[in-house]
Amino acid sequence: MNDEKRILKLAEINKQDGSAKIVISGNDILSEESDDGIILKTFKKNGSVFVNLEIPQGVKFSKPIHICLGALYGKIKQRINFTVVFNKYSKASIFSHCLLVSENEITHNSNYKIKLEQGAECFYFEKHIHNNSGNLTFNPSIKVEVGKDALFKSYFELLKGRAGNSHLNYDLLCAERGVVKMESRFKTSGEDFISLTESVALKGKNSRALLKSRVAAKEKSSIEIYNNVKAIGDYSKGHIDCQEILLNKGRVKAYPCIEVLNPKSKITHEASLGGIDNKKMETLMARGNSSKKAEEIILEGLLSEYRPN
Amino acid sequence: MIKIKNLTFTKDGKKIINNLNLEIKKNNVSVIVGSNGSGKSTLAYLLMGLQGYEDYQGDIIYRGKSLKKMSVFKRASLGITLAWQEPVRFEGLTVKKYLENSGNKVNQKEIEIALEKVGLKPENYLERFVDSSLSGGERKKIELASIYLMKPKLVILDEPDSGIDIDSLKYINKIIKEFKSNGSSVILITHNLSALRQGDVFFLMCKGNLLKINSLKEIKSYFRKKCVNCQLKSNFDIQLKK
Ligand SMILES: Nc1ncnc2c1ncn2[C@@H]1O[C@H](COP(=O)(O)OP(=O)(O)OP(=O)(O)O)[C@@H](O)[C@H]1O
Ligand SMILES: [Mg+2]
Repeated sequence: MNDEKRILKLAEINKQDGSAKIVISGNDILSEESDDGIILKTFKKNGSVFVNLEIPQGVKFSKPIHICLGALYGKIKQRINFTVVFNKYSKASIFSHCLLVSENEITHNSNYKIKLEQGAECFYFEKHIHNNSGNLTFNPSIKVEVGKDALFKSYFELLKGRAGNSHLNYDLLCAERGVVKMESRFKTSGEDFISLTESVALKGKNSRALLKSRVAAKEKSSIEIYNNVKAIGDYSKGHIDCQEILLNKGRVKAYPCIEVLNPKSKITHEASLGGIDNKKMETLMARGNSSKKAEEIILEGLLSEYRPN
Repeated sequence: MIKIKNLTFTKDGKKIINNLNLEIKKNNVSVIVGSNGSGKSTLAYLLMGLQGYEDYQGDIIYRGKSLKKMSVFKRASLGITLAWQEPVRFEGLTVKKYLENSGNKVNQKEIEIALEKVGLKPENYLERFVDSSLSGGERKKIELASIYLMKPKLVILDEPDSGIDIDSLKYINKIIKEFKSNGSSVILITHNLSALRQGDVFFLMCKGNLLKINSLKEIKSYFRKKCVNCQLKSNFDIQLKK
């Protein structure tokens, strides 16, 4: 099996599905195809991969755009730069498949710049499959500009393989009536470390943000979540919903930083950090499940893989 | 089947169960009624051995063995289970998955039957989540389905009928009958007079103690007249008045 086939197999993508597809292995672009409507440009510069993607005005794609990033063998230093523009009233989903499976040292640095113009809708789904050695560093930085009446919905999932040393950084700016909905689910084990930083500035009038995270730290791993939401515009609204579970010697931290600069705005915050809720455990145990099994069932639900509704 | 001897339980300095004695026979439905705060749920938690309820005076003997220091899982393995008055919600867990994990090797057909038994259409519920999107009544019905699948020997039902519409009460009553005909014993805690008819023996819980009542008629009158806004210090006062 060649690298491209292996990547597509890992990402579980069929030939037909998708309105565009970019396959990258290490710092090499293996293939790219796109629907007529999508403007796609890829190139290499100074050893880094650059991908520019543009969704034309008013065009709505029902099939997703697949971006497959593979780090399959050996020691790899991957450097990716994405620039994505959603023109006015366009709509598309981007499925980013990060397949960092080489058991050797992987370093992945990526920069995403996503711009949503007025009324545009972007669903950004990022699914990770990692190696089992935990020998990896993953540093994505994602900047999103959400225009007037635009919607940015994202879903991040790291449930297969080790997290290694990961620092995820999201920075979003939201204009009038712009909406941000972000959800992250991941688990760490061994001596993994993840920090997730989500900063949202609700600048526009009536802009909204919902940041949801469901994470679990096992063994000696640790997770830190930084949710920074700033309400600036009139009637802007934010909500943070963070659940962090720790097992064994795991460590979890939450740093909510909410700032309201406008008396007409509101931000709410709910966080729960701790072991698995006792009543849940006891309910399952009262049905004949051992505590280990009960733990598995609860975590499987809380960290369930994304399923499109 | 189960024998409770001089059970006393104190929480945060408050005596909640007070020198309680009770024997429950096989194949029997024991109904416990009593006003709010009289200790019914606490008794249920003590029987199930929940965290914070392990430390009691007296003894609970199940089929000749003391349950002291026995975990919830161990008790469940012996066939004891509890349906909570307010069942907990599980994010991301489907009804199907939840019911699959209620008892040993449960198959799809059995799950569907269990849902039908509690008056829920399987096709409408199997893929739904056991989370806050279910109504209170729906959640309670799913709890009962889960218990049904477990085929327990001793079932403690803590107000299975509260928050359930009148039309659905028949499902609960039927299930209780079925438990009994399968040789299980049921401890039914209820405020519902119609559920009382299921009982073989009746107890009135009052301030941490149980008073055995001889007939359905009698308990109805106690329930109506004496237990609402009860001013008595303990159930012994009732006996004295009697
Ligand atoms: N942690 C606690 N500390 C102090 N008192 C408690 C504690 N937990 C329960 N209680 C008290 O114990 C008493 C018995 O509570 P329990 O829940 O068993 O009542 P119940 O009979 O089930 O009532 P209901 O009909 O409302 O369900 C109540 O007065 C309650 O306030
Ligand atoms: Mg109660």
